[in-house]
Amino acid sequence: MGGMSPDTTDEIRGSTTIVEILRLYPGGEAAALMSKLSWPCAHCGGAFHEPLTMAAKRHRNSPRAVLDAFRALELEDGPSDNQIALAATKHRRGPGEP
Amino acid sequence: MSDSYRVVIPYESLDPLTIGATDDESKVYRDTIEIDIAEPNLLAAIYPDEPAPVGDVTAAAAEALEAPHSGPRFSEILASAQRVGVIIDNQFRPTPASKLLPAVFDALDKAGVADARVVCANGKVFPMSESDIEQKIGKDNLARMEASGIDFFQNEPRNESSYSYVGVSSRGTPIWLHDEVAKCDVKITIGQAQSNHWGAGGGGKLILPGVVSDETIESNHCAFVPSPQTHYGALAGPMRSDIDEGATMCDLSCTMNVLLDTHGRVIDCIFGAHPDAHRDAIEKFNAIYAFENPVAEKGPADIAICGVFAPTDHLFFHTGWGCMSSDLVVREGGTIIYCSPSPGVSTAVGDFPGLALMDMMKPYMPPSRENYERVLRDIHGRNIQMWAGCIWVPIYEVMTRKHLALVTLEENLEMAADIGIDAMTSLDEAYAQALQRHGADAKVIVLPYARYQLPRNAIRMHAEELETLEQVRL
Repeated sequence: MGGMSPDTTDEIRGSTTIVEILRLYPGGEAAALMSKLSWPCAHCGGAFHEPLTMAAKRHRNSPRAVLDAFRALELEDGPSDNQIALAATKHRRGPGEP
Repeated sequence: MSDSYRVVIPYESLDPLTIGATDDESKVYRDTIEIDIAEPNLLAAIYPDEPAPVGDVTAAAAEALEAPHSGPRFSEILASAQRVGVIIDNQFRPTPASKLLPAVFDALDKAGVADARVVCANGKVFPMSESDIEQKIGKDNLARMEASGIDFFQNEPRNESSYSYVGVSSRGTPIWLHDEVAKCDVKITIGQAQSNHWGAGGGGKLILPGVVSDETIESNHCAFVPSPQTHYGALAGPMRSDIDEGATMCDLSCTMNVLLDTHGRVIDCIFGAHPDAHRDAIEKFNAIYAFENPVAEKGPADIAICGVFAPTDHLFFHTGWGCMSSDLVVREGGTIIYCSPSPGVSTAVGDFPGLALMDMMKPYMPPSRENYERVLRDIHGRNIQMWAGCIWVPIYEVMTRKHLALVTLEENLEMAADIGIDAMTSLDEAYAQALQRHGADAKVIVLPYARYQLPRNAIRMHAEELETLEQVRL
């Protein structure tokens, strides 16, 4: 892991977009994590400029768990299996949610 | 010992942009894979008889524009044009836009059209990068566009403010069209025509899903991809019919359709009114690549061996379409051996592995009827994005009925295992396992160019006439 560009020190936030995250990891680590979450976002023109939190909600994943998993890409070993499992868990939509 | 037949199939991976943009053979990587099939096992090995490629693609395009298959000549269309929209396909299609556009730009100049734009029909696929654009359109064309004030746009399907509402198709698809296309009184699409699982590529498909909104794309794909009437060769099937109707509603004026041979070379260029010219292109494609189905005479194959060839790309997601065509000649419970190196692709936003997007099927593995019901429920619930599901779902559906054995590069094996796809690096090994599964007398069909090839009896060019309600009531 640890594929962040040397000139980028910003931490991934909920408002960081899919394309920004992909560009932080040109080696494909972020795309691989999206794949583990069963997100097609890395390839999707529709989701390209969508903030991470919005993508998590749209895919019925926990925004907090997703954020933690993507932030862990910065670590030497990347996100743990448990972090990935938590991020990948699908939740039912709440009343009134789209 | 019986005689054997030496099967040679393509095992290629070639970037579509390379096909469209360069004549440099040194940049073209080709490989083949070979296997001996005992004569008694061989049901058929089907190789198409392809015509020679055209010499000068730009000249062929210019000639086609002034010799329409149907409707007025392009110059006649342009004579009264106020605004012109030129819609091209994206980085994952091998259409040589860089060589076709000069003929269109020449016509615009000659007609004195001052207001034109080029729009990329990327649907919901991520937009082309600067480098992709340079290769797809070509440096000279980009310079010419800049000098002529021709802007370039790409589809941005979630940006509601960029779309104009057109109406609802007869099959219920609400259509919002990209404003830059909607504002044009003349709209021309430039694409590759081929039969495929969704009916056909090219023509009106560059409008829908190419330059329409998220809602339009998902509505069409969710409704019609799972239909049994959506299949290889079904131009008259519900999915392609809805696409062509949508393009008509969007006032698509005309289409330029190229046929590419299995090396990616242009073998024909057909221009004319929508949808007739595209239909003609598909008929010409089918005349070359459709084959007499041996199943009626000899019974279905137990095993299909499929190859992949130049006008595809680096991802199995795009090379694997032949799973659905070979499905039509393999018996239930049979085996499809798909030989696809799929080395993955480097893009401006990172590297994607060869099985990228096939991982979308992982939550539904192993393939089974029960799990396919879950897929259908999740399509209904809009929990599956069908811009991608339109490809992996049909492959998955085939996998619920037939065994898919993927022959691929070593680097894909780990991801294949993670998804649950049976993959190996050796065709001999895959074939030996298939013989073990189906017995020594197993019948084998070889489709070296499976993505192009379809049994002739699958072709549906014309919809069957539906009785009107009045007739039904009588």
